[in-house]
Amino acid sequence: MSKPKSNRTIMLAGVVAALIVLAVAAFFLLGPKQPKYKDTIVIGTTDSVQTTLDPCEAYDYLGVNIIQNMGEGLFAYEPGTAKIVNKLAVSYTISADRKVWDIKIRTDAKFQDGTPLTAQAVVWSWERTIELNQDPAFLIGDLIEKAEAVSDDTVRVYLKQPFEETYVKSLLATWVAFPVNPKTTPMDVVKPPNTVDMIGPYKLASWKPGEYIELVANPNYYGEKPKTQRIIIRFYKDAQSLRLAVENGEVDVAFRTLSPADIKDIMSKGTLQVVSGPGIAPIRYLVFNVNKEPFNNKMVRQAIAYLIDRNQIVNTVYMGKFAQPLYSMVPIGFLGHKDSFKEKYGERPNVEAAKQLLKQAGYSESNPLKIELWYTPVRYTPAEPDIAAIIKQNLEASGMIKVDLKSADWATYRSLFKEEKIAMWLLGWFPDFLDPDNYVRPFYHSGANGWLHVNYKNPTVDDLIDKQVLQPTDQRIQTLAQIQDIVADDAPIIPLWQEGQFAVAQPNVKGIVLDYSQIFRYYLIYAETG
Amino acid sequence: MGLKEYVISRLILTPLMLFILLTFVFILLRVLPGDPITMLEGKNIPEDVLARRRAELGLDKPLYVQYLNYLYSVFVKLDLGYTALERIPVSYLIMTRLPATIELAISSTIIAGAIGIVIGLLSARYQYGKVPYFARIYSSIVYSIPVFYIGLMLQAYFARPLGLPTTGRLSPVNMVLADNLPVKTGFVFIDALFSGRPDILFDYLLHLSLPSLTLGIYLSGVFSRVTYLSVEDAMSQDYTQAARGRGIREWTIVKNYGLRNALIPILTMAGLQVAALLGGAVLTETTFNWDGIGLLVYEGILKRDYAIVQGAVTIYAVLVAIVSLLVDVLYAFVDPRVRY
Repeated sequence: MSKPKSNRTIMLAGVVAALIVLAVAAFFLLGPKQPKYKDTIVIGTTDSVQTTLDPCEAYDYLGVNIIQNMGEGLFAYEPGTAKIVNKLAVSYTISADRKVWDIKIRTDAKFQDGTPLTAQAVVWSWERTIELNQDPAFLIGDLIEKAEAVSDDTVRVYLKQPFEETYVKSLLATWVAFPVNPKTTPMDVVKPPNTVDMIGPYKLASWKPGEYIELVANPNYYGEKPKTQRIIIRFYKDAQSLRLAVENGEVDVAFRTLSPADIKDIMSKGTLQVVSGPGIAPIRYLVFNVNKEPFNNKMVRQAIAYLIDRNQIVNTVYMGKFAQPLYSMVPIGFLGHKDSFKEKYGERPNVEAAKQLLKQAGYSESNPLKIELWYTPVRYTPAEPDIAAIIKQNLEASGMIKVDLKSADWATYRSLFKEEKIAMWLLGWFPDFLDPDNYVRPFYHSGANGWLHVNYKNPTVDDLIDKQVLQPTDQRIQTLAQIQDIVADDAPIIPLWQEGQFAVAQPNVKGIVLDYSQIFRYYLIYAETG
Repeated sequence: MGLKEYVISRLILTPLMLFILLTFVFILLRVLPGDPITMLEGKNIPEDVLARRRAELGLDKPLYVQYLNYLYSVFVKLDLGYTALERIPVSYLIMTRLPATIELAISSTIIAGAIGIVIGLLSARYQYGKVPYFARIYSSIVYSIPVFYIGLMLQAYFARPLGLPTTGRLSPVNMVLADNLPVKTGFVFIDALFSGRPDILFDYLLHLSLPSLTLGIYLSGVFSRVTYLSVEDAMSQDYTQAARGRGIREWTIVKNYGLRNALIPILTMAGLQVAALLGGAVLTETTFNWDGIGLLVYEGILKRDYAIVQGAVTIYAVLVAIVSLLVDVLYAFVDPRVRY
């Protein structure tokens, strides 16, 4: 009895199989022709992951950037613009006293293991960051008093003070506020070679510390899937190795940091593409220890501000293309930016004004001011020695200053200015979050600039800095302008230029977006293969 | 003293040597300005967080306590500790990097030996001609040029015309593949060979060529000098004169009488060169971005990561001790007259 039945089953199975084969064949023969994308893109860099890939602890450029490709927050920067938009948030309301935010979140977002995102998960993630209190925890720790889940899809945030709206959003957009999966994330920092489960286009596949990191597309991501399935980030020791690797085709995209001279060379050969974009990572500046001779004299600092030729640096070292002269610590493109240094000292060097000030300070051609200018050759750009040489030349053009150039590796350099053994040195600043506050407070507020050893303290400025984050936007812009004018006059720090971003890529690579957010979005990059 | 006693006494001396070396490294690292946490500074990380990190690493304790803790963990717990910022076990890093360094060391020793012995023999054979003269110039030049300079020259003049890669052990895509092969020893040569991946093996050999040539050329100078001098010495001995008198061909004498007797000094030299080899490997690895212990040490020094540098030096010391012991034991096999 069972035999005919099993024959029928076989026949049925045969028909179904034939139909499937036909359907598949029809799909491939008749269906729209899909463009084919390269499965793997290799990104070469001289950066390294300094600590971990746990969003509660990472605080270096590359580590944070990789996290930005594996996770996202309630708010984010729209690619190509500096606009902050809703990401995991759908909408939000702010209470009348501006201290309580109700944020509604997406209901279709899932973690890598399929666990749906809830308001409880968001709150837990923030609490974890604050409780573990690692390097960048203060970014939300100083912002949020308390957070709670009002319902599964609404987070209520109680702020410590009635902060201004974009300020709050830019802090909630930082990686430390990215939701992590409460089911799989421990209440401890997750160490290499692992990371945590977040909501983003990619997930970590493997990590050989110091050698490479492999990311693969996250199948459970709610948003648009990346065209490139696999990203390999390969670490190189220096710009020389990175350049060789991209030139012989082992690397598809070289991003951070080739020397400007290498870029020039590559551009003239024309076999690789050079993609550039505006940048603020880093902004570069000159610091004085205002407690130390001779820089305790404001006139000396101002004379130096008159003499430095930013355009010469930008035009010779950066070919006028990969950097912009900067006349305020608040970068161009930021809320409240004002060219205060240009207004006070002019765009070109003013040797006469500088000489006047130096004379008043008691120096002359026969009794020149003798100073040391310090730089560190590896941390920022391979062109650092050239830059220091230009500044030396600028200052000596006055005929009243003699500059001695000195350099040291970062660890030594840091110790030197920390122990206040040097008085004038070049530094760079990578922002923690994209708000003007992050460009004034860490430098000019006496309660926050201790790390810098500039020793600048001005009660009026302290007061204004504390005030600006609590003001409505238009009022805040005015306060920021006031701050920038005062510190341009006091000149404890001289802003020099903001460095643009550039990537060198194989000719078939597309989708490289470099914008003010400073996020290098791997998920937009692809290469078509025939 | 028999061979066994000799080996045991050498083994006992190794920890003593290690102790002196580690003390030296400990002091050197502390003399350098900065500490591992310095790398995190220059940003507005709150002071208390930085202080806590320092305390976690024991950097807040007096130096002698740090020193004793360090010796205790190396010699008693046999633990090389964790890197300062990532908190990865140093032993893990060393195990993943050691094969690359050993590969480079073996391949460059083979190249150095081949170049050195050929040049040495040729100049002994034609010792009254111009060959020894040129051989001497070659040896002095390659021995005195910094090894990274040889590397840079090869990169500049050979890499592009020959299409040879200049960075890493494998192309990045193959690096990931090689780590997922069924055979997993960490030695790419073995893994690719026994997993049946000739493509990875080929890529590997291409990547290996310039770094091993660089280090090989650097070391070949000493090899050729030692070979030449010992063979030449043997060539003026009575027994070689007697051989010549019997009408044996000069090349046969060079090979059978000269080289055979020269093997002991060559081996001694090879043993002594292990230290130079590892030193050269640091510079070769950094020049070619070869992911070995040398590159790890270089980065460790820049980051002031005490644990990495100390751990790598420990491994270097142990390697040198083991190899020189092996060389001593090998004497007995090469020369039956040697007795311990």
